[in-house]
Amino acid sequence: MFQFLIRRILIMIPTFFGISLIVFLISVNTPGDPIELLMDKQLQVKGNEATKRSVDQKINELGRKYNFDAPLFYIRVTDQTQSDTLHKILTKSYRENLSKLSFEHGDWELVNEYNRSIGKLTELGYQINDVATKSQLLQFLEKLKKTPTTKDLIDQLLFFKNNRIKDFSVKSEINHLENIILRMASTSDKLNRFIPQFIWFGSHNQYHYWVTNLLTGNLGDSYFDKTPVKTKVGNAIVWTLLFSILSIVVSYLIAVPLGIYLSQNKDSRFAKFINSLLFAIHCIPSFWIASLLIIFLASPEYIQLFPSYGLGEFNQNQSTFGKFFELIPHIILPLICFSYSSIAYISEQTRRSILQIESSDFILTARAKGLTKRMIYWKHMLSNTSFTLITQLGNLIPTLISGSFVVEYIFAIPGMGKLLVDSIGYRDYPTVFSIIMISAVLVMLGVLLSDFLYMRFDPRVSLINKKEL
Amino acid sequence: MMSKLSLSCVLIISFLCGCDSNLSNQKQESVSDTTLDIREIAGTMNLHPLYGVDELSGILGTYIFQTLTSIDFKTLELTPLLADSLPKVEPLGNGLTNYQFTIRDEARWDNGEEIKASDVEFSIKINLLPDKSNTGFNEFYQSIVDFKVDSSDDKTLTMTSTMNFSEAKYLVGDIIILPQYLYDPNLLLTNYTIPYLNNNGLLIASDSTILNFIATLNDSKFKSNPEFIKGSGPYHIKELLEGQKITLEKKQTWWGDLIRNSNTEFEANVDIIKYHIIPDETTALSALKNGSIDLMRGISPKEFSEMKESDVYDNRLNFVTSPMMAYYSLGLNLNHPILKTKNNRKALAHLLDVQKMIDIVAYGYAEQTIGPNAKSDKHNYNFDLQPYIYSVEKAASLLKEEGWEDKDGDGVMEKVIEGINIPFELEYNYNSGNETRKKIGLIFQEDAKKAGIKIKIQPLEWSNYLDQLNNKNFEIAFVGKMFSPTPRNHKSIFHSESITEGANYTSYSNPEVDLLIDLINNSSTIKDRSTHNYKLQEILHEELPYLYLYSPLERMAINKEYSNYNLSAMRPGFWAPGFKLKK
Repeated sequence: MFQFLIRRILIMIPTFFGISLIVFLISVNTPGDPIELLMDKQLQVKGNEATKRSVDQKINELGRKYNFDAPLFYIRVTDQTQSDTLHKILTKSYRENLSKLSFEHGDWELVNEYNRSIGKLTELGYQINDVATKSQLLQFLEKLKKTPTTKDLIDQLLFFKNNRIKDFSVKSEINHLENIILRMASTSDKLNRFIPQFIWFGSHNQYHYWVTNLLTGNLGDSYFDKTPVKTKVGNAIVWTLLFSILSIVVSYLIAVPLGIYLSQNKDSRFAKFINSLLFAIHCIPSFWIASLLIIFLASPEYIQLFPSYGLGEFNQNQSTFGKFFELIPHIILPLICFSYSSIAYISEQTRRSILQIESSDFILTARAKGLTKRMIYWKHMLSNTSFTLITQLGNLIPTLISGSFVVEYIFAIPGMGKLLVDSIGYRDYPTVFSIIMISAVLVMLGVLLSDFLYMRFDPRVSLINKKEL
Repeated sequence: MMSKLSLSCVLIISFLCGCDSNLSNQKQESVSDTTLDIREIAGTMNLHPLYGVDELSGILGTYIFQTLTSIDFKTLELTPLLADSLPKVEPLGNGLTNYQFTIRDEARWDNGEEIKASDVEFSIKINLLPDKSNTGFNEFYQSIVDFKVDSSDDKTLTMTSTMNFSEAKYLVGDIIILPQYLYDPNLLLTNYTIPYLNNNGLLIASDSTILNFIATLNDSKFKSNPEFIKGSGPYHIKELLEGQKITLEKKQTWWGDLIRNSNTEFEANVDIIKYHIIPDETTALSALKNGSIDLMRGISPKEFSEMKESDVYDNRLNFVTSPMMAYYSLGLNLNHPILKTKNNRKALAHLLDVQKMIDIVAYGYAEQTIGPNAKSDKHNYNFDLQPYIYSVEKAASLLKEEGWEDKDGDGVMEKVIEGINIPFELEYNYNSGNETRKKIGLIFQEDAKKAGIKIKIQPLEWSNYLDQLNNKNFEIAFVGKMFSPTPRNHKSIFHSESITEGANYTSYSNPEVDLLIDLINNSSTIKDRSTHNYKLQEILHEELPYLYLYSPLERMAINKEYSNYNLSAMRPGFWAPGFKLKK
């Protein structure tokens, strides 16, 4: 048993890293520049020359803080035209344009020189006293950064030299830049595009930092309100776990007796109707059920039995018991949405398992001994089907977590599901990807629990594993 | 067996009745406390006066903190708030101007201390720190070269600025005044003067004392701990439950209650304002109908229209609308070979059936608009201009004039431009998931087709959509704009300098418009500003870098027990503290 669990846990490790890699790849390929998302909108918009410099400083600061200046992964497979230090360019669009220029020209060293010249001109630009000239030069450099081809770079340069600039203290550097651009445009080493290049970066890479932080519980800061994601998720997970646990308890409490009832009365019309009904509601999506419950059971237009949202009015002076009673009416409708699908599923499992063993010898013996129907069903049959039911516990966890995304949003419950939906709305990617990773871990734990329960309660599985071991 | 069943039934029924009565009790209690329950789509956990990032923190900020002057909620005119009058302006003749304010005698902090000129000085200093998280950035602060407190009156202050009054009118008093005793109990900033902070940016940025102070200011307690979110406004935070609700409580003794017959901001009649965070509209509507909330704004036009027409809510709810300082428009990329021709743009303008859009998409709750100024801005909106009428014939005639013709009979016009046969096909971009923008695109697509123009509708993920706009990599894009009631600065949208850096997405460049924008920004009189704005809108209406559609109306349902909504074009459209319970 112990070895079996160890083996399962060992299999989970590569699975975890596989998932983390996929999530990381999606996160780095989401549209938009993460640094821009982290920056304050006001700072970007209300820019005069002074704040423009502070924007540059802020970009560097954020780049260092969140390791955006590190390469993406341990290894990079590219062609010979690309530089191994391109990741140090923090602005996403500029980095992409430099990569395109390198590909066009075929030699990253000259493109590197071009980048250095742009940097030097930016510094010189900040030192110019005349505001109009400073603004012209900085705007020109911004235009260059947004230009991906040498042809367009030359156009920009000609336009700048002919129409704008008369006399500059930075003229020599402009000439140097012109020289570089012309050299880039005049030569092209196309062969380099076809020679592969493998670059090894070691552990100083974004994925390494991300996954290490994840394992140590550091989930980063929210792009939206800059609060630690750990705090946000910590507050939310409490409610999701509460509803998940309650849902599991409620599901078993209702589904098992229901399953027994349906198997006992398998030929009655009522049981057949209930059975069909359970099949039907199992197929209904939870967002629809949630809306229907709110409209029909929480609105004065129909029957107003329950509050339609939230978790109630807690008073600081209220006792725990009082708070609990305040909470109860609020959790009924969400709980129905969390549980109806599991109830339908588990009751069907119970019914089928009981029907399977109904004609077994030991049941016939029990009947022959004159045991009551109640004793036969609740003691002998149920104990023999219990392992099937217990093992379903592991399968319920993933279903509940995915179900919570919709139910929490509709009922305004501040759990993980609502946090995920809100974070997607705000493009708060650190929170989104942290929730996805936590959900993935919970699902893996659910599967592990399921395996463990199979092992523990189903002798056939134990036997197979013993043979394997 | 039967008796057990009956008992269970009784228990369940009594429990369910308990649920219902619980709900009623809750509301009853609320009413006796003059509690106003408001629904919000999203909550906030950041109520820091300097670092707020979302709409709700901005709204709550106006109930908790105050500025020297503000724009009156009802009249939209600049009015004194903490100051006893608008600033006394004295141009010094050397490019400098003096602005003098006197703080109201009645103004007090929560601890009973008087609000003094030194608090204003502290509030300016806190904004001059090299703190890049500050979203309340105000360029006026950086223009202050001197700050003096009157020697005979510690409530009178004079700021000397390099900004003239026409530039600084709305900025000079727009400083959130913060209590130094709460944010800087050790009086650290007293050691620095405003000119020193303004002139020694690099020194301050490396000053460890300042950096530690900034770190303290960023502490989460100033964002979410009610004990540390306090200003001179009528309310303080009573409870802040993440993602659930935010409760504001009226201060037992608020200095503003002594001010009579003043601006709307001094009306604070509601004891408790509760914000309930309910993201889903169906749930929120149900809460509104069952009386759990008193006010809901931003109701979808369809629901609003249906509820208003139904007589079920006649006794309970008032359905009201207020204008919004916002517009919807279609941005045209003027670098595009088709769109760079004015007559082609005019043809598109004639193919926009804006009234149909208002009827179908906004259910009538919108006003057609002709330009970038809000209709509620009576001085600056050009009422002389008439919108382009919807006419397929006029569009067809303009296209014919430009040489467009459907040569191959496929229903799409073609023309040879720069040696290439180009069909009149354009892509319409909008952010995916936005149904309003999608419907507007569909109506436009249908009407454009009648004139032989093919519109391809392309939804884009939000960041992608913004990237395309910023990089001018679009043909037609939906552009919605919401703005404050301060005079509009059109520079970032229409000035040629904003093509590279700024929000001039359409690449519109016109020296006359550049000049007009500068004239508007430097106008010192309402009349001058109005004249230049009229001319600007006239040019834009003729040149059409944008096709303006309509300004939506804010749609609200409010509990009939309340009156005195003070509806306004300012967000959120009503002044919640001023609500009164009808007797």
